[in-house]
Amino acid sequence: MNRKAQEIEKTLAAKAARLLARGGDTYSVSVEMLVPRIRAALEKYLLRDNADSSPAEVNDFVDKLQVDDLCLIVACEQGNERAWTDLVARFGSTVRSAARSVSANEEGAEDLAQSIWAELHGLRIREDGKPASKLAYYSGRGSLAGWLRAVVGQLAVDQHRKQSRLVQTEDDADFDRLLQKENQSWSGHAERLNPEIEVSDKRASADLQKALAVSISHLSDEDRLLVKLYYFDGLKLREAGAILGVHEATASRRLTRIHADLRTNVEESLKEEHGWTRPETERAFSDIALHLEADIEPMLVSETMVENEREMTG
Amino acid sequence: MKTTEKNEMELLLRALGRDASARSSGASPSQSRQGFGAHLDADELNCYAEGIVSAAERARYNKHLADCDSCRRIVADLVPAAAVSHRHEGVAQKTGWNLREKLAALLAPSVLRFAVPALALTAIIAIAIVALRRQQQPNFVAQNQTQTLPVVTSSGESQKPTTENAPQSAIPPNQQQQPSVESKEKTFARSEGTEAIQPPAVAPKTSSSTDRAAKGLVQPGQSAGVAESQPTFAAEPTEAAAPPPPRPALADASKTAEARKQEANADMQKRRRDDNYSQARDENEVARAGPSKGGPSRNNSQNVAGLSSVMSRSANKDEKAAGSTVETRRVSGRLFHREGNAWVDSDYTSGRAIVNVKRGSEQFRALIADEPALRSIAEQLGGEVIVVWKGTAYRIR
Repeated sequence: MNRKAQEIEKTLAAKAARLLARGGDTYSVSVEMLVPRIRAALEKYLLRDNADSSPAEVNDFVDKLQVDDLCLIVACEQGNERAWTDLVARFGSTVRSAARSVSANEEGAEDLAQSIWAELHGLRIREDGKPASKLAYYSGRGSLAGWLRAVVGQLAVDQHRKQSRLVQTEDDADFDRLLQKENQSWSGHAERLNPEIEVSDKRASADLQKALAVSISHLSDEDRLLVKLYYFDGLKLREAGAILGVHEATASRRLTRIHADLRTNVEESLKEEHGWTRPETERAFSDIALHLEADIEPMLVSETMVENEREMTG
Repeated sequence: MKTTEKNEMELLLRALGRDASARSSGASPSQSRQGFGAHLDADELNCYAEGIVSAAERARYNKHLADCDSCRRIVADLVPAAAVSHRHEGVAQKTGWNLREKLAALLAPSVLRFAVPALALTAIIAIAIVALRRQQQPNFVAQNQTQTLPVVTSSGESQKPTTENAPQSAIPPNQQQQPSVESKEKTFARSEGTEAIQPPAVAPKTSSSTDRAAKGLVQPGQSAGVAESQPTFAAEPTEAAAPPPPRPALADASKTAEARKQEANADMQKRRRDDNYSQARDENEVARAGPSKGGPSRNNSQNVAGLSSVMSRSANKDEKAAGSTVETRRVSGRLFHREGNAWVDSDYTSGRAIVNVKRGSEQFRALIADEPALRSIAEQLGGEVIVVWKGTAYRIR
């Protein structure tokens, strides 16, 4: 162990003792139990991006930990019955609420919530004889309620994947047909009678779609995330901005800039790879957009109506 | 970028997103994990959603989230819930302030900016109220004197001067017209000197309150009697109702009035010393007999009693001003102050003839039977009480 690591260990021990004293040591958690958890969090977050963090940064990081929640989780890991009772009493409603938000019905939500508590207790047994619980992954950096919601979300996604895998085998053919139909409507010329024009337009549409997809992949991570959140996941600008940590207006300005960047990149790509002239590119954009407008507009209207109904009932 | 181009891009992106989401909904878990590396764990997702990640971490997570649909959807669900939790925590922190934080918030400049002027205004209002209440005390005296003045004046008009009295005409009219306390006291002094004041021209309404008003003994607490008697006097076209003369003309007059007042005081004090217990008893009997039996001489004695009451009040006023720490109580509209073990009526002056009444005695029972107010005073104050009632001082033990 080098000198820096020793310093960090010393700091951690002192900090852990102070945090326990501050927290009142409700569940008889010792410094020896707490230090490994704090060290793990430190290595996972602070030291990963900045291995030469100063003692002040280490102190600041440890000070911001949710010590009460961390002590509760450590005590649960140690098999403290009172800690488990408190955990269920304090966060039972949080787990149920999170399960409801990702489940189709109340029964599914109840099953999911029960699965969460089973996962937290640990279904498997580790080499040291203790249950392999998900509790070991709580660092104390964020709130325990938020962490539980994230665990519920992950479990719901896993369950959804398992279910969709089963459903997919039955509906595969239908889904493929749907995809084909969607692709046809993207080209916008499926109903045209002239086969030459149809083939030509279809190829132009496919080229444009491919160029757009490539341009999106070349966007910066944050811009790409914004595009995905807004256009792919269907979030509102306010929601997408909240995820990125920016205001709705900032997200809107950023999106306008992304439109311009994408347009430029797509035009350049079509020109370089397919030899399109600028008027050809503009006409392709215009034709496809004209069709998409007619195609998407009713969908947008129906989506808006559904959303309004949801807001009114919710 | 033109609006048309922007709309075209918007439509293209929407269509692309629709297709992509349709594809991803049918994608298997293995497909969704391809190329994105390991998924973010629950702790990382939560830290990202709660916004407590560093810039480097955020960039790393953004890279993954931009390409991983499942993690992005979990984050999209977590962020609104985290925002709600933050709001709740903010409210909880505000409600759970400790004493120090409360004090700091109380003494914050933004609070003090409004609180200090408000406190100052409140203090000014409180001081003004206290000052006004203190001023009301002399006003009561002046009010009583105002009521008695027309009696004297009218009686002076109607009476026929006897042997010793100085003629009314000797007094300058302008001094008679002064509504001030000094001139009124001066008038009483003259009346005292003459001892020949006749009953008022305004006939009393047979009520005892009117009788008391005529004697100048109407107390502040007996406002009904005062209110009843005031219009009667006010309706009388006396000289007192005339407007007061200009100030400069009063300068000399007030000096002479002051001198006369002092003279009258001295005279009255002498008279009081001369008066004995029997005189006080006579006055009491006169008061009990009622106005119907009262002849000119009795009314005279009543007026003398009223005069002495007013004079003693003015004397007590000075005493009160001198000793502000004296314990006082107000019972049945009369003010009493504590002197040793006794409650002394503020109208009582030392050296005045006094009737000793023992509680429980026959005399006491007779007295309280005639004057229920005295019973109330004696009961409420307890112990030794010196009270001036209808011109007579009683010491109730």
